[in-house]
Amino acid sequence: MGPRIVIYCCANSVIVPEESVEKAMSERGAEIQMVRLPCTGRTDTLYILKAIEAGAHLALVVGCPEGQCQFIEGNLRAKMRVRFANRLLAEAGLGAERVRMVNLSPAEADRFPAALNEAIDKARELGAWRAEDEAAPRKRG
Amino acid sequence: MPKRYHITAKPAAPRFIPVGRSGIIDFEEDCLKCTTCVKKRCLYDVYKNRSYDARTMADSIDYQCKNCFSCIQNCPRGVLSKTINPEYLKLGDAYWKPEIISINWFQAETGRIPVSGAGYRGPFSGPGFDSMWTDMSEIVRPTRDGIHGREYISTAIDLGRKNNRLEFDAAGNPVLEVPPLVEVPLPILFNLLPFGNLSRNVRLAMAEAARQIDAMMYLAEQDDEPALEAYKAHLIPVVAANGMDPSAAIFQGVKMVELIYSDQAWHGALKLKAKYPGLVVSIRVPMDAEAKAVTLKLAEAGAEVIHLVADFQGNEFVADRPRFVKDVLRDIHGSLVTASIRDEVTLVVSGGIALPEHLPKALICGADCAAIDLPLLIGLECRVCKRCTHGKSCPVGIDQVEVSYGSQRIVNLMCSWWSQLIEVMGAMGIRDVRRVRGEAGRAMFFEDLERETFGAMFGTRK
Repeated sequence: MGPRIVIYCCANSVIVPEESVEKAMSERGAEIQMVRLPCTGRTDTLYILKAIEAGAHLALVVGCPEGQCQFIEGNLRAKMRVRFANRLLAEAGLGAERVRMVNLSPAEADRFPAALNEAIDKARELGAWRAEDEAAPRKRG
Repeated sequence: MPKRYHITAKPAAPRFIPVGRSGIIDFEEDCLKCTTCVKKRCLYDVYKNRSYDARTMADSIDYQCKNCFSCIQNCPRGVLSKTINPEYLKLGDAYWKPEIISINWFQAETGRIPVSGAGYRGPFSGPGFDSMWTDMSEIVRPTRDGIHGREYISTAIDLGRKNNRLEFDAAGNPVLEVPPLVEVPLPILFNLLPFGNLSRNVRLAMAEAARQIDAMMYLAEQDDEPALEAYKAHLIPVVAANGMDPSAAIFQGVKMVELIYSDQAWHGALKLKAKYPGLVVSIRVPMDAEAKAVTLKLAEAGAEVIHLVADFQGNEFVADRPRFVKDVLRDIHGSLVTASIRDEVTLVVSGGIALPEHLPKALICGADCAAIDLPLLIGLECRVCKRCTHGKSCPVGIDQVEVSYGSQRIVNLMCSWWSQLIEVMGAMGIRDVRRVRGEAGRAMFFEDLERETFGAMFGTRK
């Protein structure tokens, strides 16, 4: 079973090419769940931690480039929250790298597959934080 | 006075947090921790009851928020802003729009009529059923004791063949045989579902709901099982006419049967009628290029019920510019009226009936009764994501729905649809749903108005 990744993606940032997600799922065996948010400013630290708690190996937050947020500073706040989540995860001993953020503008769809592949590599390297998730990932929709 | 028909709704909360329309963005780092917190003052306690489902990644606030904007406007620091949830916009498809899905969710949860609040801001016309307006001229005042009071509005219809006239012999005795009829108290049948992660629980929930509200449900031949024995009176088995065995167990104890149209269908119907004279036999005709001719031929031959089936988005099965179900229906209804046999046959229509207002609109276009499919599934929390059509798992586990819970959701949905049918009929001043059928004069059609108003200047629409 491949790594589980949750992507929190801003609806105004990169239009995620569906085929790259499909490809990552079929070719690289990753299990990917996309959550579209109105802005990455919506990403609560709790959202990220809940995803990790539910068995995700890694959470990827995709936002607009800094200074280009429709809500002025939503992506800057997301950045701070991701950092906070990193700290909490490090403190809990699960690894700070389980959460990462990338900034892509709507025109940078071609950079998305690389960012996703990088995340999959990282997730594979980290593995599941809970032994039983490695053996049998939790069932979800 | 006989007991009035009534559907009792009982709130049935969704199993999964539904995808809500609103998206609140909270810059909580700026919070002043002041004493006038708008989150604590929320009238609907959405912040207090906020929960997050890690399986579907849904936040309860999106669904519970009533869009009153009080928190957005009153926060002294302005930390909250609001937008539309992109997950909501992605629900369904071009026909099954997010509004249709969320309205049906609300109805299945509460059984109440959804109220959108501060008036309707449009659009006032659109494709499909949205291009027709029903006459509301009878809303002149609130009735003295309401449409559920003394003013009884009947929603019952009869399925079957009806005689056009009486005939007597020389001695004055009636010689006409009265064909069997099946009375349903609501002009709604539960159709076969076009897709879905269907299990026997779903079928049992539908059958149980049909029993509770006295409706009828179509059942595919291969889905028949002993557990459905108790619901026989509410089932309409759908069987292929070719190679049908009239003495099969599936025909025992049912009031109505549907044969899939083929060259053998009429022959099969006659065979079934010969064996079971009390049985109403319906014929399932796909809405394709032949539908009009086939319907006319069957009606003239003496068919009792004809079920016209469009695809699940309400389009006819024609490759080149398919017409919408309402236009096909008007055409077929009109041809039966011209042939003077419309009153003898019962027309059931299905496909694209998505909202309660589509029901009276389908009746106005010429159907006696509508069969609904996807709204039932949406009642069971379906998101019309169609993952199941690719063999993927259902995000809301429809196949695991409990029978009692699922049936209550469907009963609630039907309660809401029934109430809204009565509202529309009350507003039209019609007291019997049988009189709504074909009342095209009590509705306005955008295409007709456009043609009459602008046709002379701009020609026909391409």
